[in-house]
Amino acid sequence: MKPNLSPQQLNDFQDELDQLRQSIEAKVGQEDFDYIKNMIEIKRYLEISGRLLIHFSLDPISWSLGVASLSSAHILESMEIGHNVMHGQYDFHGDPEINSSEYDWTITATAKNWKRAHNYHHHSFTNVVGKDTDYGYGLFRIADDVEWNPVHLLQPVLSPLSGLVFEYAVALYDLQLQQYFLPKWLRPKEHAELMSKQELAQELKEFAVKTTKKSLKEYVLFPLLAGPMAPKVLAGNVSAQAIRNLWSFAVIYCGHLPEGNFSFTEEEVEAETKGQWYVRQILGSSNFEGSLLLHIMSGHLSHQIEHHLFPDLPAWRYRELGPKVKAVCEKYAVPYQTGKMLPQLKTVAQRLLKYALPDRKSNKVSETQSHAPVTEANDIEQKSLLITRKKPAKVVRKKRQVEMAQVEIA
Amino acid sequence: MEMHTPLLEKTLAQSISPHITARLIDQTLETHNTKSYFFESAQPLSEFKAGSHVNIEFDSAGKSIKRTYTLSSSPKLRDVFSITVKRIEGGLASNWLFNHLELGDTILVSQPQGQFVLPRPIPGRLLMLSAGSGITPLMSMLRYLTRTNNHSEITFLHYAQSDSDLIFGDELKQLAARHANLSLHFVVERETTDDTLLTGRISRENLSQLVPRLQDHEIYLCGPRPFMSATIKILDDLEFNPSHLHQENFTADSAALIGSVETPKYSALLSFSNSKLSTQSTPASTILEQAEAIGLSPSHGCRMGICRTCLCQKQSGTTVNILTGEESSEGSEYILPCISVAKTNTVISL
Repeated sequence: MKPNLSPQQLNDFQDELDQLRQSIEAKVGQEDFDYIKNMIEIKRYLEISGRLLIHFSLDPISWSLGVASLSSAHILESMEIGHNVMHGQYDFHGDPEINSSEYDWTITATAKNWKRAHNYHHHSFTNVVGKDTDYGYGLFRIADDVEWNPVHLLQPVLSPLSGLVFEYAVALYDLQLQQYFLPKWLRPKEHAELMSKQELAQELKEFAVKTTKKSLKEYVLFPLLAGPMAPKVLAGNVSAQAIRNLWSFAVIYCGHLPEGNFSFTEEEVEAETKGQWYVRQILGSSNFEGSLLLHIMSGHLSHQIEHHLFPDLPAWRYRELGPKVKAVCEKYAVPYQTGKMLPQLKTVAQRLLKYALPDRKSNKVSETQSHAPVTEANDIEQKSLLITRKKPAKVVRKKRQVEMAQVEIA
Repeated sequence: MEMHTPLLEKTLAQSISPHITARLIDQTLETHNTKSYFFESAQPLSEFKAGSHVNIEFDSAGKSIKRTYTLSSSPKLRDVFSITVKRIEGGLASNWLFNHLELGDTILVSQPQGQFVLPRPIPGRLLMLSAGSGITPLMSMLRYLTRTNNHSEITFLHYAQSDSDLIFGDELKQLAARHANLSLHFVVERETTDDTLLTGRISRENLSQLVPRLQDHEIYLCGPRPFMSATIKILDDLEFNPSHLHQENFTADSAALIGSVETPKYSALLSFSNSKLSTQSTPASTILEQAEAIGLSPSHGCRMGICRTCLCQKQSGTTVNILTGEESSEGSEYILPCISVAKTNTVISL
């Protein structure tokens, strides 16, 4: 059950979280700038060493070390640097290298597409079916709130496979291609707002240009530089990308889909307050626990809850915020979902398997909050209008021309 | 506030001319001098936010009359909607609606628009503050909020002259009984036997007592100009953050507008360049009224500076905004002729 806070509690809850935010905002400055610049530096060294090791390796061990180093660089670039920079976490500084309007990460999803689908749709409408495509309803079904469709039979296979090519899957999934190309009977009923075909064509063109450039660099140019050893470099580069893809897949799936996270309807969130918005972000997100390395390599999405509350604060600060946010949640009895990464992933896998099949019996259990909007029949205004509508609209057309002449003119 | 280029403003203004035909399906006498008119239209209004207004147009004695009224119904309903109109003594439109509009009659309605609307997310602590018929946009907001899953703490504070002037009184009381988050207060000027009502006028003490943590509220204010001015002064004295105050200038008739500010005695030549006509300007009439008086038919809507349909270019001369008393520059710029008077010799592109 979702918690049922009173309007006053919701406002107090909001005030406490706003104060937490202000306490961090007051600290943001040089330390954050140095942090992200260090990350960029580390990523550069990891990339150079990875590419050199792959290029010059003569044995599987050094090649594997090269792949590990290069994939770590890719992970750092997309998770801790790209994702967070594109959220505007470091815009305060003004350095164009870490500015959200300038940065385009190495993942094939274009920055423009990502910022629209992720920063706006996902972060504003977190876990709202029909608004936030990250909840998976575009192709997948993990709860009763999505109507079963034959395409869901594929999800136990399609989902892990998409992990291997996650960057492509994400880029194309956000465009909701299934709604344009799947036959109607195979299209999931739930989808977010669709773009026009012209806009879609433009997005696909930009995606194709970026993908081609990246592919030429990673899978043609670098391998060719190695001459006869090209296949080894190609295999190394493909492996590094696949590892980054699988890791991103695991981290993202842990964010909002584990058992215990709630979904929401558009009606539920239509006129929410900031306090209600905070509660929804928390109920729709899951953290996972682990070492400092795990936090950094996940881009601090291990603190998904804090990220969703304050997506524009420098992510490494979420480590400091986490226990404080948790304490506020405990005070107001708002469930704070956290656990180890693998058990969280296991619950996602179980949901993907369970909901691949249609419901055996119609025992739909709605997780939505009980205080739903006032029903129309109870609404005084609606009631009076409905009664009025039942009356035949008796058109009383008197001699209007005569009446017009009687109109008092100021 | 959102800024538009003058050209864009003109385009926006033109796009809201009335074009939907709406049929009157019900009317309710809210008080002795205020009626709600319920309309039905085959083409629903476009999506709008609570607090928006529409331009309506109808024929009176062979003359086309346009006015702007706030939608008092919730934006949840778009093919059935209502406006609530207070009859103004001497007011052409309100009297015509009151006396002559009958069930089944049709009028033309524009698409809704306006800036006096609720933001997203909805403020958690909301003070809706109104007087007289200024209650209409706030009623639309409240009807909307009480039909959603909104959990704001709402204080609805309404001022009226007497208990017989309380618009939506019964509906508001029922809403307050059903929604624990709604705190409702009516304050009337004249003595009353109804002990649920408070008496008096808006005051600093009144506001501080009825609205705990006033400074933490987002305030939506609408009413006649003297009420608005008094409230703003109190809020200034209380050092209320002006960025949390949202207001709609609400005056029903241009005659009332002119009378509401002290207008010095200007005498200037007012020329209309496109039609090559001119007239001796007087501060008792707006530029729009003077243009009409010499036979021009400029496009217009609300005649109270809200809808911006009349927006036109002033080529030269100083004009005065009768709502704010603000003077224009002497050079070329866009003005609203329905709320402007000419202070010096002025040339308008009409």
